[in-house]
Amino acid sequence: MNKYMLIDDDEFFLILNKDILSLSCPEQEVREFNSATAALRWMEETLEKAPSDWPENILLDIRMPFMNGFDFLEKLKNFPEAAIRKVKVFMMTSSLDERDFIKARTYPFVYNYFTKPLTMEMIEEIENTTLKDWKSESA
Amino acid sequence: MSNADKHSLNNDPLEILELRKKYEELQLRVTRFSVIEQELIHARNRLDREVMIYRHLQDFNARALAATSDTDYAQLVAESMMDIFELEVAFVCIDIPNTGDAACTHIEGYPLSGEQRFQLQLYCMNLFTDLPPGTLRSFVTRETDKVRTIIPLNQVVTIQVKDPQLNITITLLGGITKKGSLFYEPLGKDREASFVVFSQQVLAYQVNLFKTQTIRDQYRILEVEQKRIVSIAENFLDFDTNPDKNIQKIVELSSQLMNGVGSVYEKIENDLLYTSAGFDVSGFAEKEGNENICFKLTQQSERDIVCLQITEEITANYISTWIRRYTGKTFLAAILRIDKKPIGTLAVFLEASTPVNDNIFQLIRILSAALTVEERRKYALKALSESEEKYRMIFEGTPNGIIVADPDIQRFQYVNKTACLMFGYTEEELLSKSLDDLHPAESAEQVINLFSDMAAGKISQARNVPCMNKQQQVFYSDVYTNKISFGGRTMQAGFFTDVTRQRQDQQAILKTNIELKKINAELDNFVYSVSHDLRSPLLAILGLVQLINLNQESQPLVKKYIHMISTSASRMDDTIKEILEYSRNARLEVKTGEISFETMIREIFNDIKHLTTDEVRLDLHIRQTDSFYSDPYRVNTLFKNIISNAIKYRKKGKEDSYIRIDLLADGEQALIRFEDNGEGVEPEHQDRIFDMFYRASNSAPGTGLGLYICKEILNNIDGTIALESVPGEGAVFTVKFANKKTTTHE
Repeated sequence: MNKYMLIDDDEFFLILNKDILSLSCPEQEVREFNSATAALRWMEETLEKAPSDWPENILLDIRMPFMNGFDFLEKLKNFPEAAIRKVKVFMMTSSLDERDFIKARTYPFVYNYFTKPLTMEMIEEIENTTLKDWKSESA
Repeated sequence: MSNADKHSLNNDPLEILELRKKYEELQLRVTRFSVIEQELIHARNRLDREVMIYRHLQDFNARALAATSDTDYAQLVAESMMDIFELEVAFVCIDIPNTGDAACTHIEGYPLSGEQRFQLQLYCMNLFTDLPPGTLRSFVTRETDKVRTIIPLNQVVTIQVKDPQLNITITLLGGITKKGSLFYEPLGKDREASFVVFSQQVLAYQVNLFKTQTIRDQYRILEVEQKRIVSIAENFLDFDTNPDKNIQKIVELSSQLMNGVGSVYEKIENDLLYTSAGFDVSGFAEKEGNENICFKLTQQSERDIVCLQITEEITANYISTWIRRYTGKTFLAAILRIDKKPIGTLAVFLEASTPVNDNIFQLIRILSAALTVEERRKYALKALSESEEKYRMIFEGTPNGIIVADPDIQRFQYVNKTACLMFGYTEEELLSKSLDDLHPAESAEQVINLFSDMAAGKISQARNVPCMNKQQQVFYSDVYTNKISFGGRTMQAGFFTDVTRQRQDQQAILKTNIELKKINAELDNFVYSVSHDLRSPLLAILGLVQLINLNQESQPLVKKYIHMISTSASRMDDTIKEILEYSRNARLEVKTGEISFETMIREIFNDIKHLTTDEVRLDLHIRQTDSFYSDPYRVNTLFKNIISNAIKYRKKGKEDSYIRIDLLADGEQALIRFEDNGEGVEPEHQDRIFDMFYRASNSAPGTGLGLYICKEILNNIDGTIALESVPGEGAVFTVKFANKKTTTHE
């Protein structure tokens, strides 16, 4: 059973992605957040109070108001490394900007970059992605 | 005697006899003694005479050496002859050929008229006609002898000696009027040898005198010639800087040096013949008329130096009168040549009596050579002044300000008009200025360093040098310097270009550029935001369509409509993407990176093969000899557009649709051939297929931007694209673009 975090300011995609995820494997535990700040807050709390709820896959939109996807990734770096190592981030975006793609690849905990909408094939790819032993920048 | 007689008488007769005997003996002795005495006196007298003769001879030798003329010498010989040989009359005839005088004669001891003298000379000559030289003749004259009718001589001794080399003949004749013994003693046999010797001596001294005189004469001639040449040379050495004046001088000189009566120099210029200089000792300076007689006369000959007699026949052929004044004279002319081409003739008119020998030929040759040198100098000077004029025109006409400075004395030597205008001074004012006046004080040090570096040849140009005009306004100038030869000195020439305007414009451009970049970046962001915002709802539609399709319970009609919605949304998404690609190619800078063709093409093909459910085969052949660098994003878009066209416009329903890609890449460029067996392009569309929004087929959805973007991309990455197509059979796109390896990785 995988734990998913969906972060998108567009409610439509949250619903869409949740539905298609539940279609592919109904036993998934999916949490939706309509802002990156809300997602961060939840993660901080979870790490402190209920570490077992710590997500495995995060589907992250890039273009969001206030705090965008990259700001979120930066904040994620501040979490304990052991925790981040357990997370796979997948970028979900409607952007065609190559720069976004290049920038996303610089984060070791970003595993893939998808163009919306989420499809069954993508879910399959996410499910098949295993954690990798990346080296931290400070190491 | 009386005592002796008395004694003898008184004594014995025997004794007397004895005495007598003794007396006779004594008498005999006395007689003998007086004979000896007589002989002794004779001998002494002879000795005295010998001594006298010897002295005379010595005297003659000494005086003969000192003789300076034939007449003096003849006189001396005659006098000496009388003294030495104790003659009464002496006649000397010295015959030297080619001296003008037939013979030099002298007679001593007897007065003779000129006529008689001549007769005596003839007589002497006849006397030796058939005899070998050096024959001595001495004889006693008879009443009938010719010589006795001229001079009343009783005895004559005469000799003729000859120098065969110089052909000098000397005849000596001595004589005695006295009648007496058969031969007067001085002319006796014993004297003959002395006379022969004396005559040889006379000849020897004469030869010596002749040679001395010849040398002296030659020396005198040389002295005269030298004086003449010196005076001519002085005139000649006073050279003028103007070749025309020198030419005139040389022409005059020709006449003077050769003792001519006139000289003319005719020359050709621009195929025209005219007289450049003429000189006539009789005073006319220029020949009249335009006829080039001298030139014509010389041209008739094949030789460079021509010598002929001016006859009336010649002068009759010409209208000009001046040539007639030289009728009968010798015409001597040399042809002047420059680079083998005849340029004129130097002609000298000589007196007919002037001997024309090698010397005179040599002279005219030298003079014509001197003339040629002057002509060459003229051409050179002309060329020089033309080039100076050219330079002046260039200097004055140029939009550059030019200042020529003498680095040694730190002064301006020349300024052109543009420089005056640039700095706002008059020419005189500017020439009096120094470096400090032309540049603002605050940058004086920089400027001085700059110019000393330029003078040292370290740098040849400087940009944006601050300058200051008369109104103390600062302007900026690019300065180029060059060493130039100016008036024979090496100077520093500065070429000023006022770049104040350019500087201002450049700064304005720089500012605008920065603003434009800012705007561009904003526009880029705007395009992305808009595309993102436009796509989001579309992608949501596609997601929803997918969800509906996953729901198996949908009605068939709904499914059909849902599919149509999906197609429409996809098409719109494609359009947005293409517009984005276009905008991106147009605005983004080219970024070079290494390209892996194989991976790139395969990825593109895999990404877009789902555009159709039909099977399309990719046939990829790559031959790459070097790593390849270009803009990966643009190349990717380029390939994607061409490959997707091949898939979109395949022949529907046809089996074995394919796209064959042949790629050849080396260090220089990539050459790619995309061949498909699709529907192809009609000929009327082929020219316009790369135009913006132009669509040649309706068989598949599209914006008409794809190939336009391809063409634009290739413009950005130094490439070209071309199409060949047979409608219904397929299309071939040939793409070529440069390998940027060298420009990025060196």
